[in-house]
Amino acid sequence: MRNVVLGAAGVAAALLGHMVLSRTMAEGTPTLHVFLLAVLFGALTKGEIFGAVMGTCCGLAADSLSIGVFGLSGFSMTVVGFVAGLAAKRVNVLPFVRNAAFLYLMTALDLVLWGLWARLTVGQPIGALKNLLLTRPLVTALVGAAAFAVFRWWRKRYGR
Amino acid sequence: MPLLPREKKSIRIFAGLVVLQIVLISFQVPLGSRPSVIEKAVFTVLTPVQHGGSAVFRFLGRLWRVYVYHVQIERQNQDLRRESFMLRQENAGLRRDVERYRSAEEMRASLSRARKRVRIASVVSLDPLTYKSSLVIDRGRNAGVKKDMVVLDRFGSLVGRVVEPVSPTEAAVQLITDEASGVGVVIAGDKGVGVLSGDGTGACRLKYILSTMKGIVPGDEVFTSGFDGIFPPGLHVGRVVSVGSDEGLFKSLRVQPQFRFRDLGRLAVLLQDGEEVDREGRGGR
Repeated sequence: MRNVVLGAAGVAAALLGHMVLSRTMAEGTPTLHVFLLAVLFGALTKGEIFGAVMGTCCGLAADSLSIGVFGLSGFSMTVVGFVAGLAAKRVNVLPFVRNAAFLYLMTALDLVLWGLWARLTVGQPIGALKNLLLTRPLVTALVGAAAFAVFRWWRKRYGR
Repeated sequence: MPLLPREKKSIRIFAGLVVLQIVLISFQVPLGSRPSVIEKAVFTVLTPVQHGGSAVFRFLGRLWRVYVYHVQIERQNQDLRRESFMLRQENAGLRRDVERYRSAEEMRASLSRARKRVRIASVVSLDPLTYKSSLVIDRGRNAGVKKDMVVLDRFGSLVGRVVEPVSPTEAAVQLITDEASGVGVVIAGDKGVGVLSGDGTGACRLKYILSTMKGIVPGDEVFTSGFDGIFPPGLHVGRVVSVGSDEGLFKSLRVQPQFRFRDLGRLAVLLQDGEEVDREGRGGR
């Protein structure tokens, strides 16, 4: 039950984060993937199953806000959530630099999976990937690593 | 090495989720751009979260301004902003009418109709996945918004059209900068008629302008032609920024849209004929 509440809170936080981003930095909205950050956060803290379920929920939420094919992002984020959860069990990705590199890889993986899947299933033009492939992983990784660092600091100081 | 029961369970759940996504995509692909029932349901359930958050965000911003400035000044300012928004829409409509050489009576009637036909909407969120493709507005079926209604920015320039899903309180808008969009356009001065679509980078490509068309230069204004049956003629779309070489049958033209992405806070939805509502009507401004 606690995991369900945490998952729902994660999706709601991603939705609100995306709304704030849309209102404050419209030009850069797609470069920071807040839905993926919520998935990776869940995967790193709760494991691969939680990551995969979060990937499905956040992916479908992102799909519903986009006019592309419904389910494309759900698929890529489910895979990324599962892979991130598995990898985090085997490798320590908590230090800042390693964390940023890990988030960079996972964001790039999501983008590539999404692009390939879109191309394969519906032949969707993926011209936008040219711009996003460089900026989105970098921005998402840096912001995500900073958020993780703040979260770890907060938990160390105030958590149980 | 044999898998542990927990690992087997993880893989089973993961495989189930992946199959679920594939089933969803399989349902969606034959529907084309029409959203599936599941997508409509997810959209209807989730967008109110953002809509509510957006309202709180606006409320906090307004509260801050009210505390910092004087209450009455703020109120006056809001009225003036609303008036200025409407005047810009009227101005854009007027310019369109002048270009079509309408009589004074027709223009007056058209202006009063235009006032009733504009529904002001705020942007709730932008497309999280692709670059400058779509956005969600805080007006839906309850405010008379329907599929294929035209959306303009606050200066009256074309932004896009309403697409599905349209929920009771929110609607999705496809931007003209989306790669899958298509707008029938004409280059000012009758220099050519073509179709405009996005190039995935925030600019647009103007297609099907024959290489034999002469005199097109960077800076030429582009307006809707009305030939597509969705966008009314005469809406300002953008301007030509580059003209490619004439090697093929068609020219390669790049158009910079007139609307600016960072100015998309408030938009005007043009209600279709017969959809006129009073200013104080339901879902009013």
